Amino acid sequence: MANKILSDPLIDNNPITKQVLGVCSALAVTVKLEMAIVMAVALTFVLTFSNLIISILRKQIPMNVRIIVQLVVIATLVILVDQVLQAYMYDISKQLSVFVGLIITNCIVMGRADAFAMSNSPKDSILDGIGNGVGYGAILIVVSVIREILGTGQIYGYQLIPISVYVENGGWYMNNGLMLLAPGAFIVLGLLIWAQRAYTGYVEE
Amino acid sequence: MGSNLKTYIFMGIITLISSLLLSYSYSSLKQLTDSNIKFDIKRNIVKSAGYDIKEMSKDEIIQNYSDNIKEIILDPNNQPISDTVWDELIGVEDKKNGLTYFVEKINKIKFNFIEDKDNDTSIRKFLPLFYHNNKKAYIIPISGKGLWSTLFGFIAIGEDGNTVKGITFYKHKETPGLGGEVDKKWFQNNFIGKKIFNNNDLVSIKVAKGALAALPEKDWNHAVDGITGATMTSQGLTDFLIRDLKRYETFLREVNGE
Repeated sequence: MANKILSDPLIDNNPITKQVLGVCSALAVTVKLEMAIVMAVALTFVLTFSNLIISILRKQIPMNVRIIVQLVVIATLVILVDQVLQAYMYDISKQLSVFVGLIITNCIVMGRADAFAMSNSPKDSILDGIGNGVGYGAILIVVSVIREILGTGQIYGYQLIPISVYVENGGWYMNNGLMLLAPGAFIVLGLLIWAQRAYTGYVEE
Repeated sequence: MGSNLKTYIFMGIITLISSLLLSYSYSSLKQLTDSNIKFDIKRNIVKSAGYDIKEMSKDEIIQNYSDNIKEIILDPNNQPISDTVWDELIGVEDKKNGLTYFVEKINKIKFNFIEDKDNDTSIRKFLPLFYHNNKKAYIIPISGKGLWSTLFGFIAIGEDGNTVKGITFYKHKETPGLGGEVDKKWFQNNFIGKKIFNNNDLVSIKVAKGALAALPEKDWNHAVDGITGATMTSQGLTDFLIRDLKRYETFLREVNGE
């Protein structure tokens, strides 16, 4: 059971490719691998702790204000993450700009809090949070690797495609500018969803 | 009624804990964050003077700044002022056009509410700039609208008050790969050696639409290659560069005349 909670969101029930949640940030922060990794860690942290806190409080939370309570918990954690990033990883936090703050409205976090943590034990909720965070992060990382290589010829800031093959240096190669824009992310994400559904055999009803 | 009371108490406790936690983390991290922001500005001032900051450690950059930079504060008429210092000033952006006004920190909030910032006389405005002793460059803060966002940066002008020594942008939200190319070396290096005065007119530097070669040869000293696919960012940059340089025109002419 515990293993299933952790592994299910990685492939079979991936929040991005299966449930198509959290797509907005998946498009926005996947231009570079470095940004995607920080975002994945930030979201996993927020998701795990919001799940934990809400699961602990679940019997005390008045039902009529439960969404507001969830939002307060999530917002507090997100602001905390944002402050820590600004203090310790200033350059990255500048690049991620508003998208760290927008974790508050990320459907995955709210969705897991309301659908899972409100009705499960703290231990299971932590596993669910980690599983979904890693499932989200894995897709982010795959998309950003593809976009960074095709869009800039680099990976994690290191030049992967030799400078000498570029057109401006007398070669034949050009970076694909589309990959740096949101439509490029849409295409990569669409292909990933296709691949994942072909693999699991899932069909939308 | 009973259940309502419980809701109120619960919400009260939750929000109290949340606000206490956040005020604590904010105040304990504030020093670090502030020093990051300060360092970022220093780093970009040093960079615009013509240093490759990627090759320098944090300490080297701070050392370079404190050894070489002289902070100069001018009033709006370009007369030097000595009763305030750079550390006491803060930039306030006019959201309409991206122009940055520098005012004393205590006046920031009051100034933010003023509608017509340009003609306002109730709050003292300043024009800061930086002189790099070693590179012999005057470094001027610039800011203005691109396509999506306001760009913030510095331009370094040589001792003659005319030749560009470097340009840098430290904050913007333009499209990566298109307008975001303003960050890139190739674009910034094109500014080096260009002249902002043509005979006796302040013409600034124009970002061409397309290649520089398409412009008449007489303009080559006052223009750089544009960025393909980023017409709006290029146009915005052209517009705010001349606007911001004009604020320092009297000063630059004096330097030029000496």
